[in-house]
Amino acid sequence: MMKCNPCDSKFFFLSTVFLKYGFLNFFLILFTALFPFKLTAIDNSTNKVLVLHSNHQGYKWTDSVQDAIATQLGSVENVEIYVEYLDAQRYSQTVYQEIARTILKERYIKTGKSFDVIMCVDDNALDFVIDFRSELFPEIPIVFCGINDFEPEKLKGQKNITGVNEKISVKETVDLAIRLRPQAQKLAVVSDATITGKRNLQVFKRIEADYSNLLKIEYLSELEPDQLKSQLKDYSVNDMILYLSYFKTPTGKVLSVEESVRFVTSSTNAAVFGCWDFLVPFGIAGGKVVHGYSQGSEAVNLVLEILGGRKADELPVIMESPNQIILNDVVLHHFHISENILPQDYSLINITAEHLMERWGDISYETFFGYEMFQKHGSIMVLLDPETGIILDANKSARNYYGYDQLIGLDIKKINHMSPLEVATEMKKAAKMKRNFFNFKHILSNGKIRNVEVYSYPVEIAGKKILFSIVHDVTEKIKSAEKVEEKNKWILLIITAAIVVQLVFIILLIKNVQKRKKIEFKLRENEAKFRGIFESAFDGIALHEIIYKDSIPVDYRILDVNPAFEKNTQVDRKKAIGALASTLYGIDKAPYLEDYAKVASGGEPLLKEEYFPPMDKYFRISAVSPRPGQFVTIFEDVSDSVKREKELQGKNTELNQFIYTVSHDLRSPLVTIKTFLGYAEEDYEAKNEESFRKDLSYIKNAADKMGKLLDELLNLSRIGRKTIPPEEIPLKKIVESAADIVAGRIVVNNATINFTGDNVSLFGDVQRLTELFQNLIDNSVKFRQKDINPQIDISAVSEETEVVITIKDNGIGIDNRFIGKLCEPFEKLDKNTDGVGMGLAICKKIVDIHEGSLKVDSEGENKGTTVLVTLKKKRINKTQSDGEGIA
Amino acid sequence: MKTDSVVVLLVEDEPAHAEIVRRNLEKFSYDNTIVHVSDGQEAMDYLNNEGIYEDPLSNPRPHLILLDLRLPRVDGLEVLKRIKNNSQLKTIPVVVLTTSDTETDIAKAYSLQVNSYLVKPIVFEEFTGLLHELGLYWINRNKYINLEMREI
Repeated sequence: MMKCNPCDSKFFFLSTVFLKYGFLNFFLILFTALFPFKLTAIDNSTNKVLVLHSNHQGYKWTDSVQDAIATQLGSVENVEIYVEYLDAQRYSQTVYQEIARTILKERYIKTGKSFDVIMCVDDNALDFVIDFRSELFPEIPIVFCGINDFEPEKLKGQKNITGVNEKISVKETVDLAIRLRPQAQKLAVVSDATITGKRNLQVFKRIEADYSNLLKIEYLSELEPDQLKSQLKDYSVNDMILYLSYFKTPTGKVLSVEESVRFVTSSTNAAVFGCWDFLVPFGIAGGKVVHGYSQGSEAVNLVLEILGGRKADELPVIMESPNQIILNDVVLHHFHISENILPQDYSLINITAEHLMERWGDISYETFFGYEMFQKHGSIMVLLDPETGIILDANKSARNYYGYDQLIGLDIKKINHMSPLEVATEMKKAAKMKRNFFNFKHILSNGKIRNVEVYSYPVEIAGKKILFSIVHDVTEKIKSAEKVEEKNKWILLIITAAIVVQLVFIILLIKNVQKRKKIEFKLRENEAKFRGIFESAFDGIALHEIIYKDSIPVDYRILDVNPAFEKNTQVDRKKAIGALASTLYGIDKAPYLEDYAKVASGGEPLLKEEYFPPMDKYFRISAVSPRPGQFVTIFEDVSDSVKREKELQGKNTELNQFIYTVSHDLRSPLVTIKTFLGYAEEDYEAKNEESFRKDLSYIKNAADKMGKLLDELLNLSRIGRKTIPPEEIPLKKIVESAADIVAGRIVVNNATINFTGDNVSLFGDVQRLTELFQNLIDNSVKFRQKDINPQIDISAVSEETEVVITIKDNGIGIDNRFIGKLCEPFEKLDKNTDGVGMGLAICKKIVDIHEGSLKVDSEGENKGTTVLVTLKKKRINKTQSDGEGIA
Repeated sequence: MKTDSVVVLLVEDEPAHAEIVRRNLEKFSYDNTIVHVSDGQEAMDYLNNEGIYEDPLSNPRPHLILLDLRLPRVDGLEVLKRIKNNSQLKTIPVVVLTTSDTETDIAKAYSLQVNSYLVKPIVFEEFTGLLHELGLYWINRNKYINLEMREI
């Protein structure tokens, strides 16, 4: 049926509008019957027709033209209708033309869709198609309708085009008005500044002269709403108003058709006439009106001719605008216009039920009786046109209830104080709940809003479907129901409040009990906690009582001690409790008696770190008084940390000394280098070569010395920094490898080494220990006597906890006066030997990190030197006992 | 050795530094004699005419002592202490000439009644300048006790 690709089908659904065939009014059926379709004339291939509307969907005129096209063209087989709206009323020409061009190109040109006929509805669409025809639709036949006052000039240069003229029948409408209101004296003409308004006014002015003798004609042109309203008010029931146009106020406000027409008709007592079909339902008495459906229908006929094979140019433009006389029955009824004076050919809309019954003779007795019942019944009853919502008839009760001057002819939507969405929702809700009534809110003429239940039944009167509605005002009912509900609410609230108060009371009671229990528990808990702390604390805790003699403190008694006391002091707990301090510690005067006595007599709590001579320990002690005459001491054995602190202090001093030495010793060669560089420069200038060479040699020596110093320094700093896991190794092995390293010097000096101590093993950093012996052997060889071959005796004894090693040589010995300085870094006793004085300093350092000692002894110059090295045996056991102490 | 020239005892373990001092004092032709010893013990031996310095004639009492602090065996401060504690020697002006400019050394030296404390500069011109001024002041300008006074 169509070229099928996914895109095509998508566009098809987007742009194609299928309108259900529906009867607006029964006369339309008659009308369409006059133009039977020529179905047979169309061949089997699919024909595509694009309908281009100037205005938007929802615009009454456009909708009625579209209704005709969809109804009449849509029912023809093999015709596909595509509909587009330019929306020219709401957008400027440049905007809607650009948008339309884009859309049409994207939708139809790019997808390769070709149309058989383009239909243009109203002027904007035709103008657009003519402007862009070569670009968008070359060669495609065009059929237009709704072209105001068509003139052949418009189609100059265009081929393959035809359509339907639209021309308002002003004269015919005025004639109709005079016919219906023969007593009329005045005719007011309402128009605005829109193009339509001005053109229509011109049309009227051309025929004005024909009526100047008959009527007093007044122009209400381009007025603001309030001006128009006040002027319209002056016209009487017998006067006539010709509505030409009032869609736009001078200040630019745009009114919808319904708004505009209702505004004019409700502002005046006079009958209003108009020239368009879409005006009539809203209170216009009638007119010979331009008829959208007829326009569309005429155009469809032309389209069908073209699809049947005729050329568009063969079909002349239909100049006779297919206008119709349409009258509003409700308005006729209002003005008591007799049926006798109505013209021959006309259509009625908004036909009152009363009129229907009058006009069609086949009213049964029951129906007539029913109408009497309707009119005189106390219930509020209305008859509605289900299509338009116009109230066709209302009984006396309804008129009294609503209070509107013209209830008949009013749109029920105006009475309903709910939005269309709310109405639709309520209708759905009713259907769902299978309710036979709707809950609406209706607004009365005095502005009051009432809750109503509307019971509606469709009835058919003379073939016309009408909605028969009975309205029950349930405002009071709802109010009283609400009142009862409110009363119930209050009772409920009071009961709830009472329950809540009781609950709160109960909860408070429970809380109170819980709180008391909690406090009791806390007390017990605190006691247990305190006991726990006392028993498990690492710190020793002791409670004492001061003993006074003649109100002078003389001693204190230990009242209680915790387990940690035992551990910290090594004093038996059982022995301690109850004992006097002087007795317990075996001294004349109890320790710190004065201080503690001060605390016990309400003095400041005490915190001190003290050496406790009876135990040879450092304690950090804090003392507080729980009650007068008593004090608690909490103490910790800090001997270890004090020792560490002292060690650290020693190390710091050592470090400072070291830095001092280093900076001094490094500075010295630097001074040499810089100064001799200066000399070198001078000697070079003076070409004093000998002196110059000397300068250089000084510089070289100083630089060498500096390098050596740095090397040694690095070596010294390495000792003790690297932590190599200690291991056990026979002393012999160490001595052997040490001797290997200095073998060169040993051989040169013809030195001998004797070793005794085969069973002795050392424990520690093997590399460092080797270095120790290397330095010691090296020293012995280095400081040899000139004439005696060096002999070094190394002997070792393994004692209980340590190993004592003796290194004895027959060298130059040391003047006893200088032995103290020996092991300091950079100390040299003999300025003649090489080296920078680091040997023994390194040895000392190595021994230190092995927790040993090094002693140098000599009986005097040239009497040899003895070095005594003491090294601790394994330290593993010590760490183990430490661990136990903590546990 | 000229008996009327100023005898300067230079106590300096660093041969290069001793050379610098020697060169400068020679350069400006001050009327002096330099005796160089290279450690603290040697200095004391000289001053006390002990050991190799036994002969008081060839090893005369110095008018001025230039003393380095970092010395082998007996260090400079110890030498200073011994001089100033010795009634025979304490009248000899001692000028410390050292690379150390630490506060403690300076303070210690003055508390041991040093007569002047000079730091060896690293910059060539400053060092030579310093030695120039030193010679100018301590050798040319300064007045010393008559050598006979040592008997007092």
